Amino acid sequence: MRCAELAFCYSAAQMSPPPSTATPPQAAAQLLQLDAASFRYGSKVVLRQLSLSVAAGEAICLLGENGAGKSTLLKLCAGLLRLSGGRVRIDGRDLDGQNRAAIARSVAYLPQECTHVFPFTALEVVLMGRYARSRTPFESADDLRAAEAAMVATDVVNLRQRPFNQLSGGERRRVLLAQALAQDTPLILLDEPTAGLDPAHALALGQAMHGICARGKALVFATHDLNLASRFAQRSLLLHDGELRLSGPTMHVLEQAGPLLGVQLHFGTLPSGVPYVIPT
Amino acid sequence: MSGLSSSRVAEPPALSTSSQRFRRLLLLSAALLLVVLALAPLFGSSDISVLRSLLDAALAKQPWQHSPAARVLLYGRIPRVLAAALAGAGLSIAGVAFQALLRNPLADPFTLGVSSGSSLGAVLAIRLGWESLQLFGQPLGEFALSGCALAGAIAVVALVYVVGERGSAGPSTLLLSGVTLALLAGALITAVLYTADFAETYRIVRWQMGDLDVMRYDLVLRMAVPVLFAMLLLWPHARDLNALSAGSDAAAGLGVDVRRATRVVYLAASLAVAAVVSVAGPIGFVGLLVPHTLRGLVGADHRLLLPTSALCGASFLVLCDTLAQVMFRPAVLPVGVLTASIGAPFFVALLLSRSLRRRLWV
Repeated sequence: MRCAELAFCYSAAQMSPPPSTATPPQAAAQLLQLDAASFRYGSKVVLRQLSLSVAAGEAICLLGENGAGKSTLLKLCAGLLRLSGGRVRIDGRDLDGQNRAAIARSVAYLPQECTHVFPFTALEVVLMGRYARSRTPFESADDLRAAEAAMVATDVVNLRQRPFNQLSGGERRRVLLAQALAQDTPLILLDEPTAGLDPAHALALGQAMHGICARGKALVFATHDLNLASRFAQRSLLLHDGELRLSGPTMHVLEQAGPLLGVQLHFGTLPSGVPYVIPT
Repeated sequence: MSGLSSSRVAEPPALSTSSQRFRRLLLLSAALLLVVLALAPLFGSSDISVLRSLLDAALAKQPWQHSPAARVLLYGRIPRVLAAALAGAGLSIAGVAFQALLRNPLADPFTLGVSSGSSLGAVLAIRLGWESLQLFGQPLGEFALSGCALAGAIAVVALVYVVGERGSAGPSTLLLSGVTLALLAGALITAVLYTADFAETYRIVRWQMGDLDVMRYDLVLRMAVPVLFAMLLLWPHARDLNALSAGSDAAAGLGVDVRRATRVVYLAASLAVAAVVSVAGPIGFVGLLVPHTLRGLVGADHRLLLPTSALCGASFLVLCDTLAQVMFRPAVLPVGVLTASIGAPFFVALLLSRSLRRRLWV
C-alpha cells in the first residue's frame, strides 16, 4: 500500500488515538458548536434545529441523500450562509460578527466544485490558502513553506507549476485540499473530498485526513462514500430532509442508515480488522 | 504510482517568490514605457524632424522654446503622448478589474456599458448645445461635454451595479445588465443622431470614434488624477481578485470580504474608464487586448497583472496613437479605429486557436 507512504500520514497510527465518542468532549475543547441551527432558502426549510459539537482531533462525517442539507450545513459552519435561527460558534466565538479574515483563520472550507477562470498554477492556488494569514502583499517564505508542506501532504508537489484548470478532477481536489491545509486552521470542512479521486488517492486522502486529526485539528466532511466514513470518521451524522436523524459512532449510525439512504447495507470486516460496508 | 512515491522527496522551495518576479516585471515594463514615451514624441502627423530643428536652434544659439519644432513638441506631441499613455493605462487596468470581478474574460469597459453611457452623455451635451451654457458668466465649453460623459458613465455604472446586486444570476447578471444598457444607450444615441443637424452629427460621430487630437495639459491632468487614484484603489485588492477567480464563495472561504472588494474594485475601474472616455472618447479593445496578452506572458496573478497592464497598456496605446498619426500622414487616423483593427483580428484568432486560448485564459 504505497499510499501509506504519503508524508502526511507519518505517525498517524502511533499518535494517541482520537478521543473516543463515549465521553462527550468538554466545552472548552469544542472547536465547532451549533445550537439549534436552522436555515431557510426563502420559505423552504433546509435545516431544522440542528445541534452539534465537534472537538479538536475529531473527524465527523455527514451522511445523507442528495439534497439532505449536508452542503448547506458545511456552508453555515464556514459562515458562507447566514443562519435563520440558532447560532454557530467556532473556538467558542460566535461566527456572527466576525470578519471574513478572522473566520478564515479558524475554518477552512473545501467546496464541492471549484474552477478558476484564469490560468493560475497549482502552487498559486495553494498559496491563496494563505490569504488570511499573511499581511504583506506578497507571500513570505513562511507562506511558501506552509504551501510546500501542504502540497507534500496531498501529493501534488509535482503538479505545482501546472495550470490548475488543466488538471484532472482528482488532481484539482488534492490541490484544493492542500489549499485548505495551507490555510492552517483548527477546523477543516470538506464537501465530498473523495469525489472524483481514484481509489489510491481516495484512500491516501482518507489517511491524510486521519493524520490531520491526529495533529489536533477537527474535520467535518460530507460524503457518499460509506467506507470513507466507516474507516476515518469516529462519529457520523445522518441528515434527512434537513433534519438530524441519526448521530453517534459511525458504525452505529451506518447500521441504521440503510432505510434512510434507500439501500440495504451489508457489513463485514477484513482479516486485518478494517470494516467495510457494501450497499445493495 | 511513481508520482506518489516521488512526492516523498520534498523539494526545497526553490521557486522565485512572486515578489521577485514582481520587481523584475515591473522594471521591464517600466523601462519599455520609458523608451516608448521618449521616442513617441519624435513622430507625428507633420514630418518635421524635431531633433534636427532643436539641434539647429541650439547651435544657432537661439532660444529653443521659440523654434516651431519646440512648439510642436511641447503643445502638440508631448501632451498627446501623455494622454495616450494615461488612457491606455486606465482602460487596461479597468479591463483587468472587470474581468476578474465578473469572472469573465470578455468583460471590459465596453461590454459593461460604461463607454456607451459615457458616449450617451457626451452626445446629449453636443446635441443640446450645453457647451454654450453659461456658468458664472463663462461658457461651459468642453467641461459640459466631459462632465456629461462622466455623468453618463456614472449613471450606467450605478444602474448596472444595482441590477447586479439585486439580480440572482451571479456575476453574469452584471455582464448581462451591462450589455443590455449598452444596447439601450446605443439606441438612444441613434435617436439623438436622428434629430441632430449636420454640424452636430459630424461632431457626434467624430467624438464616438475616440481619438486623442487636440490634447492639452489640463485635459491630461483631468485624466491623470482619476486614473492614478483608481490604481491606488485597485492595488490593495489584487489578492482579492486572485481569490475571486474561483468564485465568491471560495474567495469568502479564504477570508476575502467579497462585498467590499467588489464595491471598491468596481468603483475604481469605472472611475478610470469614465475619466478616460470623457476626455478621449470611446477607445475600444484596449481593455481586452492588453490584459489577455499579459496574462499569457506574466500569468494570472493580479499582483503582477495590474501594474504590468497599466504600464504596458500605456505603451500600447502610445504606440497605436503614434502609428495612427504617421500611417496616412498628414491625415490622422482616430486611434480607436486602429485599436479595433488590431483587436478584432486578435480576438478572432483567440477564438479559433485552441493553443493561443489555452495560453491566455484557460
